Amino acid sequence: MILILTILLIILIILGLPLFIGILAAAMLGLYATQIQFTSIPIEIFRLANAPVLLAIPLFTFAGYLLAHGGTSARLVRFSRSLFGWMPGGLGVVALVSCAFFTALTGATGITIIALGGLLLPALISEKYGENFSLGLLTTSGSLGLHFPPSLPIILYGFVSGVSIEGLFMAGLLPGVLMVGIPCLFSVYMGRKWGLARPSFSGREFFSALREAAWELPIPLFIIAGIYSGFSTATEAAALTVAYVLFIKIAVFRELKLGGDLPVIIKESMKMVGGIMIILGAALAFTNYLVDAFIPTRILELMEGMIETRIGFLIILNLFLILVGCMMDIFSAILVVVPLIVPLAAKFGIDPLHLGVIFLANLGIGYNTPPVGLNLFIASSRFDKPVVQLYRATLPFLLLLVLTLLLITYWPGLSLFLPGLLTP
Amino acid sequence: MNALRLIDKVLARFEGWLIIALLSLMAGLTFVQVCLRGLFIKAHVQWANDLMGYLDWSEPFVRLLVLWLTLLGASLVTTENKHIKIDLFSSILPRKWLPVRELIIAVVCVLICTIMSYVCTGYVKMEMEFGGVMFLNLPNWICQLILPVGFALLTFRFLLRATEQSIKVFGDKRK
Repeated sequence: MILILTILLIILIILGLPLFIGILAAAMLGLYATQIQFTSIPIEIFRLANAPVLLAIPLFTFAGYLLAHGGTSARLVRFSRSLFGWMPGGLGVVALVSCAFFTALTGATGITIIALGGLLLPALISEKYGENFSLGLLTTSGSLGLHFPPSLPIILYGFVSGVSIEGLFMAGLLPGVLMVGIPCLFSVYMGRKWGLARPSFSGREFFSALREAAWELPIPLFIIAGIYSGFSTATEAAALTVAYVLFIKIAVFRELKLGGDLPVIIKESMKMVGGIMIILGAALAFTNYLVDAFIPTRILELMEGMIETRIGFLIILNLFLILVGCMMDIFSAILVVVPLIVPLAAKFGIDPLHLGVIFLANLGIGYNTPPVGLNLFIASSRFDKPVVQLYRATLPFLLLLVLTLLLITYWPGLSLFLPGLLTP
Repeated sequence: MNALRLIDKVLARFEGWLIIALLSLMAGLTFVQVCLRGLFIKAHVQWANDLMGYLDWSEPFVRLLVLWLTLLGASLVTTENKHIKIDLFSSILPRKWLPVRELIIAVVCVLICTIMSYVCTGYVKMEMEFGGVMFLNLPNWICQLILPVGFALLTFRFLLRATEQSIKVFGDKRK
């Protein structure tokens, strides 16, 4: 009976049952099978109200949606164009850097492709970049800023795994730079190969663009500085960011109408938050059941028999996470998979900070992996191209990212160097 | 059917305003807290510390708001059918099967949310008898009220969706 229901549930989830319903149903099935009362489910969901860290999620999401409204994206692109435009393949670099920046601020929710794609694709095409190259570049760049503060996936990962969010932000910096840097090199290479026109660097344009973007560019720096100087926690930094962004949007740029735009932005951002956090609540209940039923311990025992070495574990982890990443979005993947993986990784002596970085890199790549990577579909609807063309267009970038992933996974020093500096 | 849609609209408007009010409160209170703490710790302003003493309820309160916003937001997402899901088959399944799939899924959602509303109601009742208090002497159960209410809202939304889809699936026969 339980078995049949479980199989039925899995089929329904693959068919498109909302994930939080699926997870709740799984928790119910498990509790029912072990004859425990369902009351533990609301108790676990109520834990959402007892975690100070979680406060950062609605606040940063709100700030991100505020930034996505109005001219921020255009100012960012103009600035990075004045900075990198002169390089061979410069516009590609511009696209990658500004997308990474924007993704960090808005939390890898597909907003990047929607907000920046429409701006950058015509620019790339008009400067004679190949169509497939441009499409692939913009599609993959939607998941590149994941490792930079105040990325929401990092905050969520920290909450679920119990690792310090501040430490994760530090650990993610160098790998994040690498994940943006390698596609940038590719763009420079292609730019040189195609012999594209290179505008010369203009000091005047640079300073004028800098002045225009001066209010928004330093936001990630403020957040990092605030957190590492001990002035504010991640949550407090979120509240300060909201206040600051509201201030510049209303008082400096005057592009946000208090009566017209603000209620809509609040509602849209909270729908996003509701969609993610209800899964978090369900996942808390489900994880609680899993732990009570000793499931992680059992998986651990099973895996120990099969995998002998650290490297073996890391290879399997990479394959598994890419598979997960192309089926689920990053938030639900963190919520469902992290509690299972963390004890395993500890057993194989993998640093929790390093694990977090690997996790995010993998899931970011999963966003672009056929057949169901989310970025592919968002880009397909944004650019009005068939998904199959995007499969082909993203392939070279996907290969580069997988290469970077291998580097990140098998070179722990890359992730652990900066956090090591902080803790003597 | 039309009555259901009307209720849905009115509810959504109310939820929208509640979300706007709660998020503003959350952002405002957290911001004030950070400023006061900063003033006291960095500049040793005494009145900032006194004021923080009066506002000691605000921290558990904003944490509670996270839960309230989550359920209200989730309820609004349901009106647009934009919940996070794994969607492997939308492009593969024949078009005429899609409403059938949607109907099955909506019915399962109604079932699970109904159970959740029931379980959460029991939970709140238990807390009422138990009578614990949170900040400002507010009883626990009032803070937890959003759980049964939220799941009841979700149940209603999915019910509406199931009705719509069943009209799509079975409606043809009546013609």
